[in-house]
Amino acid sequence: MTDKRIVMPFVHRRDFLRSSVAAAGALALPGLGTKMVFAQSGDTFKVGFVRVLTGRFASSFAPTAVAALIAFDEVNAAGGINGRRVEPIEMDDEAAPAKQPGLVLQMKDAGIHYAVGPVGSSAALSALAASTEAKIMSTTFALGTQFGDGDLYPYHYQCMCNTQQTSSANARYMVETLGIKKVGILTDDLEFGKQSADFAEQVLAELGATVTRENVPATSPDAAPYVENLQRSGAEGVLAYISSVPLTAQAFNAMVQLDWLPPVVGINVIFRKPLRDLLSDNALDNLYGHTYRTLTWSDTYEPGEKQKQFAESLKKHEIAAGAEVPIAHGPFYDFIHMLKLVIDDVKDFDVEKIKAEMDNLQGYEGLLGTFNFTPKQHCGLDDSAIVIAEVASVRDEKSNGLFRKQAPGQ
Amino acid sequence: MILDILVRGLANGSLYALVAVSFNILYRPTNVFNFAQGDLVMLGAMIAASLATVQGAPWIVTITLTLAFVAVVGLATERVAVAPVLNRAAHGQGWIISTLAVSLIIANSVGFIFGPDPLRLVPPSAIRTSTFVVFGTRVSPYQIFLIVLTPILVIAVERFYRTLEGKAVRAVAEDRDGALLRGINPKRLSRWSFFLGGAFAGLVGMLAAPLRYASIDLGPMLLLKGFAAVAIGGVGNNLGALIAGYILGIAESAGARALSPGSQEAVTFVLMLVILMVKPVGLLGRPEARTV
Repeated sequence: MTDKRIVMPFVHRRDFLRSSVAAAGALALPGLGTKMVFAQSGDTFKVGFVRVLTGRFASSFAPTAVAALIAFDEVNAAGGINGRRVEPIEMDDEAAPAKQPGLVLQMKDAGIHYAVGPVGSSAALSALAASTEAKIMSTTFALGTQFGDGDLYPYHYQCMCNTQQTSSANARYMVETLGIKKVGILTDDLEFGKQSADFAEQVLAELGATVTRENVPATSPDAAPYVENLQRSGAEGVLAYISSVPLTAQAFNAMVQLDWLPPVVGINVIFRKPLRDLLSDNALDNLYGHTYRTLTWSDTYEPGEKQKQFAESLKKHEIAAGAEVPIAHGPFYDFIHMLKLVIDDVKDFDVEKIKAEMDNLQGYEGLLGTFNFTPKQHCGLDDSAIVIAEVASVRDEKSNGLFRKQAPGQ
Repeated sequence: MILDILVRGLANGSLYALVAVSFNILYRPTNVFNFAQGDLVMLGAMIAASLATVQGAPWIVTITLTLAFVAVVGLATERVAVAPVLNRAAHGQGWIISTLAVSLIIANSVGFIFGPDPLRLVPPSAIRTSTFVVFGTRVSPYQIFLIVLTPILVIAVERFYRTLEGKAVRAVAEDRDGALLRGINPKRLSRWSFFLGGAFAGLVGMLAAPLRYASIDLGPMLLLKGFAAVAIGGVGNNLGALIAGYILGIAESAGARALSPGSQEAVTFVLMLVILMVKPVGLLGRPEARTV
């Protein structure tokens, strides 16, 4: 008779089970603070709040939630939404696309029809595939152009600019204002980086610039060889589309090591504190990044009261220190305030009624600019909302952490 | 161009070799690969950068506290995640999952305590990271320091294995049960190895931070390369780890220059596969046979 037992040499069942329990405990430990999803009650207005509380991306993505926390507090201080206190229902997605459908299902079962999050294009794609069918109205921290397509995602509102707008602004500044015709593009291999670099290449080609592109894998141990290649190509300026702060820091470190400090125009990571600490004042003067006009100052422009108040609110959150600009660039703050405006106006929580109103919302003055939506156009800001700013202007007391000076020629 | 490839390759390879040696220190008396080793390296980098850069602590204080703290975390790893598994079955492999769990705990904890941003560790000015040109190649004093220090550290570790305690570790590595019969306490050696392996990992983190920055990404980044160096050099063999680290670093650097920088990872693993196909136990590894 054949012995059908499976023999696992050296691995004992009890050891395996004990270790598995230990591993499961370790994985669950950091997430103990996550609230469970409860059914919608009559007292509060529950909003799904998908954020990263555990996992390897927890520390990097955690600050992005601050804008939503500030908005929830402000809305509740102003009497809530349609007379109900807003209750954010926190759900930890670990920044994992695979977890999104399950979280959407949880929201659906709990009768939650409005959500903020997740963060990241891959997670957003996964979440929206499920939430669109469930008719959950949401905003995600994802800049891809597809996320503003009202036909594709009718219940999603992109409350910030998209990659096409930001890349175009960066490329135009490089060529039209700085006068650079040989441009190097340093990008990571994430969806956001690739899409940004693709759009920038198109614009640069239209403007007659020569382009050299280096794609740095997000897991690359060393950015220096890529930077060296750009230098060897004769690039006179660099467009940087790397989302990871450590990798961006490595790229700048390589530039310092090579004593090669060309003008660099980058995404909002470029405004983060570690890069400021790394570079000399001289090198910092050559760095620019795109930001929102409302978060800048110039000889003729000053930030508004809403923006100044937001800058003060950021100071109450220790985790926001040094990451003020990337936090403000998210869509959460404006979306939550827009929900209040529209629901208070309609005096109903019905998603279809709110969507109909949101689809025609015009001229809403938000933190990031003036929002206009149509049923087809769910990216609410136009190109004029974006400007290029000087990284070095953080040293000016006007900065207050959040604000930057518009770059010359803006 | 060749000098350029050599300098970068040897500097990076030195780091890979040191991570591999830190694996070996734990492996010899326990036959355990600590999957949290990369995170111990990262922890060392974060603590050192916080103390020296953020707090402005003197180097002697920074080095002492960093090594002591990571050593204690290494010991705790042994007590919590390895010893209970080995107590149940000396040749069991439940430690694969339990050390992975420790890795996740350390990575999450460091992320929450230190935040998402990378920290810079500025070395003393004598071994600064800024470069100068020699024969047309940019070299930094820190790269030279790292290239010189690495073989010294490997020799020091090998010297230790010639002491009585070191011989006991080798005896346990050869035959745990046999060593026990000769009056050697494998459990005590296991504890010491994790303590010292933790301290060594902390030192490697300190050495890596000026070049790679202290951030939670540092652990996984060096873990894979350390594993590759262990496999190529021969499991448990420190001289093999040193040679393998250099081979990896130079191959990466040459691959980046000759092919493209994106080929670095592919070069590493193709090289590893080719070497293991020719020498399955690694360059200096010995085939193991266990009689039962």
